[in-house]
Amino acid sequence: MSELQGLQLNLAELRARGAAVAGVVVDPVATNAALVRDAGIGFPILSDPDLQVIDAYGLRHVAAHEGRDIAHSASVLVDREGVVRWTFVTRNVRVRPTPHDVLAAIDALPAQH
Amino acid sequence: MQTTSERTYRPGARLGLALAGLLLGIAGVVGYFVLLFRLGASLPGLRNSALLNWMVVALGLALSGLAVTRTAAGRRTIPSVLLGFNVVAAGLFAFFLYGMLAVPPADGPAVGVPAPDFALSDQTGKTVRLADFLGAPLLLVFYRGHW
Repeated sequence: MSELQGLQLNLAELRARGAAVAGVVVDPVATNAALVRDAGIGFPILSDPDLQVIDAYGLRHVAAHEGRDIAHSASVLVDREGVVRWTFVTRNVRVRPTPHDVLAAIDALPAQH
Repeated sequence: MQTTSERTYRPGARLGLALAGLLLGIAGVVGYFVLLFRLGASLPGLRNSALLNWMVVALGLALSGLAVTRTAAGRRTIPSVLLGFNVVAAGLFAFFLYGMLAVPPADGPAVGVPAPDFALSDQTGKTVRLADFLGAPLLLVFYRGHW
């Protein structure tokens, strides 16, 4: 949650680099709509209740909460051609990449041809 | 006849030191939850490292320890108990930070390979695909959610 809000605080800098942000979560669309509204999130939050995409990205956390599977907290930077260029998969839920880490990863992408 | 050390012994001051140490220790621990839930968005580095909180906790432990060592040998019960509370609080804090919040490792997607395609509903119900973002860098943030 604070990670999404931190990205929101730095959304202008992300967009100045031409980058887009999207969240992915098991929560239903209605929950995500409330989150976007209440937390003032300015990027899409995508609902993956069946964990199809979370599985495709190797990020299923089995029985993480009351026996229910959810996503690992992780950030994945995809370049302009759709290739994964940087990932951060946390080993501790309180530790997330800072917006500074993310901006540095974007700046490290090869320049557009 | 009093010795020099007995003349300078002020139990009230030592107890105050021990209490201040315990309060600092607790403030360091409780303060982390403020950082985690309220200020994490603006201070992510402090949220990640908990460094500031550990400095406050360490100062609290040092004061509590000092209060015990500066108290006459026969009167150390109360400052020792307060130091004990402080040590337990610091131990629980460490367990929370590094034990309870730890998660098993996950590989995530391999770097250098095409990102798996997706088609998911956004918060308005509109289907969003990876292809919609091609041509610009995309940061996908997987998070645990509200359950």
